[in-house]
Formats: sequence, structure tokens, C-alpha cells
Amino acid sequence: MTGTHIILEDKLEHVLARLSREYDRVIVPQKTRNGVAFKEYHGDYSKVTLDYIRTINNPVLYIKPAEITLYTYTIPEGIMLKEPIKAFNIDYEIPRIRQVLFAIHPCDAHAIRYLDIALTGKGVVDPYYKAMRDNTVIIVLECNKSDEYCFCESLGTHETPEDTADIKLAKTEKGILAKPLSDTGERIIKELLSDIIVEYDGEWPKPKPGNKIKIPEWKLKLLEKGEPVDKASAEKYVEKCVLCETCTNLCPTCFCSDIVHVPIGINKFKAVKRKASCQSRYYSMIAVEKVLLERKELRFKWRILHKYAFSKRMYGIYGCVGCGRCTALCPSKISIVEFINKEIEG
Amino acid sequence: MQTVRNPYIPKPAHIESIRYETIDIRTYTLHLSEPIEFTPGQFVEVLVPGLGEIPISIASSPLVRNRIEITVQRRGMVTTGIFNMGVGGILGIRGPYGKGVPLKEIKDKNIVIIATGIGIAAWRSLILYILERRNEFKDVTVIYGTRYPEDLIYRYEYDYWSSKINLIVTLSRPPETWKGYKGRVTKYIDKVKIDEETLFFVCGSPVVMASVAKELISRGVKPDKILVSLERHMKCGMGLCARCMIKPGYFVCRDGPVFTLSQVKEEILGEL
Repeated sequence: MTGTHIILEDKLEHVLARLSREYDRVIVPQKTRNGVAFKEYHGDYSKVTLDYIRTINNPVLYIKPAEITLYTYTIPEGIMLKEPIKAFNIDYEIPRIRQVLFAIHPCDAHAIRYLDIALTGKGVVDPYYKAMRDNTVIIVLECNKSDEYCFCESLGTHETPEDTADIKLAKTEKGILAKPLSDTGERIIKELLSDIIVEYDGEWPKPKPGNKIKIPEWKLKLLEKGEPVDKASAEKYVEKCVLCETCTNLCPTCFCSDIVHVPIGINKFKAVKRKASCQSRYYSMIAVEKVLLERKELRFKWRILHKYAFSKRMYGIYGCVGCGRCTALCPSKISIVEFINKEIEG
Repeated sequence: MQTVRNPYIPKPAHIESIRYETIDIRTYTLHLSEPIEFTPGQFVEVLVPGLGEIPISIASSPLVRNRIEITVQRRGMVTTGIFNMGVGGILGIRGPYGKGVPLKEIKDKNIVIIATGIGIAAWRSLILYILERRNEFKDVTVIYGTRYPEDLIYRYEYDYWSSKINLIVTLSRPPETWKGYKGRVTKYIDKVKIDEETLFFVCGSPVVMASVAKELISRGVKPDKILVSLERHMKCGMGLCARCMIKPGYFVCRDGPVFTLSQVKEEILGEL
């Protein structure tokens, strides 16, 4: 691997232009009316910003969209046939979009690392996720700011996951530092950007987001067990919950999904894999029309159980990356950190 | 082009015959386009074209590979879709999925199967396997209960079953003309000789499973000798959709649907 380089701040536009020439799409944080959001870069550099704390959408959606068409199929006229048919008319295409996720924060990169383990690392591989993931270049921008909702330092997700990211960036007074972490990253720096970067031999600055809220280590150990969450009462936290499902829809690691079949024409259907929210009633319904997570409190605790105890046992890492979207963008500002810190007891 | 195996794609299967078990339960024999290998307790995802997929236990013998039987109760949209199909109708099959009964480990043991209602469908595959390999097992007892006689399924097979194994069919609300056993399934647990190596297979509604498990534990049966078959709304069957998580670390589709009671004790007994 080559060492660290500096991209001069006024050359950033060139970097984006060259990346968009090389790749099908480049996803960059851009200013919108509602806040900073990850959007495809179309050459309007004035909207691009690297100065953000949290985006209103999560960049993981570009790898694992909320809705994926698994396959389409046609059924023969009338589904009753005298002769058995040999094959379904199933048609599928696995999307392969070569893309760059530019300047995502380490927390979101950790979310991608989590999904890599969950969807491709254990047993069956999800071909739709893998195809998108293999064609995605991840460029992480380390973050030195936080607001009252970030809690990445407690989970160790403020540092770049070096096995997931291709290039890491850090903003300094001299310019933007860039360090390749994979072969793809090295190729981009060497071939694409060679004339707009200069070598840098200083130390890599440690990211210091300076979180205002924290989950103590011993609380995390309790969360891993699962039982303390079951025992705790969340009644007063979920009182204000309106079941809008924002928390699960914006969470970069939520991957629960549903497969539904939607008509798209006469005798033609598509099977769609859609994000499913544990906050909905349908999520935990079983055949006798019994809803297992009947109350808001159970659904709230289920989410926390899935993020901590379940993910740690199943995949060895936490499913929560401390990005704070579920609290910051919640209409009722229900805070899981507050719940954990006040209610979870050993 | 399609070189990577796509686990989401179902294989066609056509309905070869239909048996009417009760007013809302039918057993379908499906002729598969590709033979599958499975063990009792595993399930398949059945696609009804245009309506969707549901997980259903395989109810036929694991020794037959190109035909499977599924027993379906009409409940929602997809099961109604299956009911609307006749012989020759086309379904899609994905699977088998889940962990079934470890057939090698249950050899030379006493087996007790306790089920109610359509729950017997989850263990019919095991029963048929035992009937075909009867000499590999010691005492085998099936305790099966429903409310009314018209709710009993697989009635046409009881003579065959009871010729080789001990079968107790009991009704909790029997009509006056009923001459067989009466009462709930838990009443007949005492009829079975319980030793340390006896394995119990339980399936039924959550409340039934809880009360059976409680009765067995009170008789000194160890929780890891009790196997239960759980039901959740499994969407993908492969552990990729995370819908069927029952507690930290367990997916019903990948780690079940057959669990030992020691694995899911709180989930089962919590129903009482």
C-alpha cells in the first residue's frame, strides 16, 4: 500500500468528476431543503458538502435498497394445466451498478461491515446484496464532530473499519488526507488522482468526535445478555411513540425484510423483497393471527434486543453503530441511549 | 448468464392429488421438478403464483424424494390460493429449509409424539419414517388430540399406524357416540413408560405446547429430550430476512423449526 496523500480542498471537484467518469454513479453528501442527504452526483458541486454530522438518509440504501425485485414471472393462461409444466417463466436480473459511496462516516461504514457479515458471511449468500457490494467502492470520511445524539465512541464505531473501507479521508487544515486501504483504493489514488494529490508523511490524526452522550462499557455487557432488557420497563419512553417506523427505516443496519408478490400486468407478477419494520403489527404475526409483539413497549425492546444481544451472539458484533438517526429523526425524540442508561440494571 | 445459484428462485411443482382431511384442511401431493432431500421436521416455502409464499412443513416420508405432501389449513390469502387450485395446478417450491430431526441420533430410543390439531402434520414425516424403519426404534407412541371427531386428520392412516406403533387418539369435546379416548393429550402422558432415553416430540398450538412441556418436566423429563416444532412467519427460509428471530441468537428458519425445549424454554412456557 502506498502511504498517505493530501487532496487539496479546491481539487475536490476534480476528484468527483473523475470518479463519476470512471463509475456508473457517485453518491455524495449534498445539501437539500431538509438537511444533508446522500444523493447521486450530477456535477453540481455547489451542493456538495463534507461538513455534516448526520445525513437524513443512510448511504447503505444504495447497496441494499429498501425494495429489490427478486424476480418476475408470468403464469400461463389459467393456472390449471392438464400437463405438468417443466419450468416456471421466471426471469431475474441481479443489478450490478459500479458505484462509489463518497465521504460516508465511519459509523455507516461499520453498518456496511455488519451487513457483509449478516448477508454474505454466514451460510447462505444473498446474491442481490453481494453483487451490489462487490461493485461498490467505499470512501470513508473520518468525523470530528458530534451532536447530542451521536454515541459512536461508546461502540468503537468512530474509527474507520479498515477491512471494509477502500480509502479513508480526514479533514485537516492542510487539506484532505487520503489513505488507501484496499487494492481498489490504491488503484484510484495512483491512477485516477495521481496529478492532483501530493504525498504526506505526517501522522494520521485520530478521529475525535467528542460525543456528548455515552453508554458505559458495563451497560453494553448487560445488553449483550438480553435478559436485563426484557426485565426493564420502557413504558414511559414509548408513550409518545406514533409507530411511524422512522427508526427502523433510517437505521443503516436494519435488514429485516418481507417478500411480497405484486401484479405488474396481466398474468405477470414480480416478487419483491422489502424492508420490514419490527414496529409494525404485521411483523410478528403468526398463522393463528396471534401478534407476538402486541404492545409498543415489546416492539421497542425487540429493536434493542436485535441490535445488541442478538447481533453480538449471531455475528460477533453489535448491530447498532451509534449513528443516532433513530433518535435525532424520531418525531417524538425517543432516545434508546436514555432508556439504556436509565433503565437497564444488572 | 445465470451462473450464480440464486436461492430465491422457486422450482415448479404440480399438484398430483388432493385429499380432503377436514372442512378447512387438505393434504396436497406435489410432484417436484427436481428431487429434494430432507429430514422430518424441515419445511419448504410454497409459492402460489401471484399471491405469495408461505412456509409449510413437509408431511411425507423422507424416503420419497421426488414427491412431497403438504397439509394445509385454509387461513389467509396464500392458503386460500392453494385451496382454489385443483389437480394439475402449479406451485413453486423452495427448500427444504431448517434443521429437522437428527435421524441418526434418535435410533434405538423410545419415541413419544404428542400433537394436537394440524400440529400432527409437522411430525407425520417422522411417523412415516418410523413406520418404514420400525425395527430401528424401541417403543413408539403417538398421542394425538383434537376437539371434535371431524377435526381429526389422516384418519385413513390410523389403522396402518396402530398396526406398528401405539396410537392414542383423544377428543377433548367428544360426542356421545365416541368410543375412543376422551380428554386432553396431557391426560395420557402417564400411559407412556418414561425412561431416561425417551424422546418427546411436541407440536400444537402455543398453549398446548406449554402445558405438555410443563407436564413432562414435572415428571422428570429433561428439557433436552423434548423436541418442539415452532411456527413463525418465515419469509426467506435462509436467515437473510431476520423475520423469524425468536430470541437472541435463534432464527426459527435456520436453527429450527425443531428445537429442544432447553433452547426455547422461556418462549414455550411463557405462554402459560
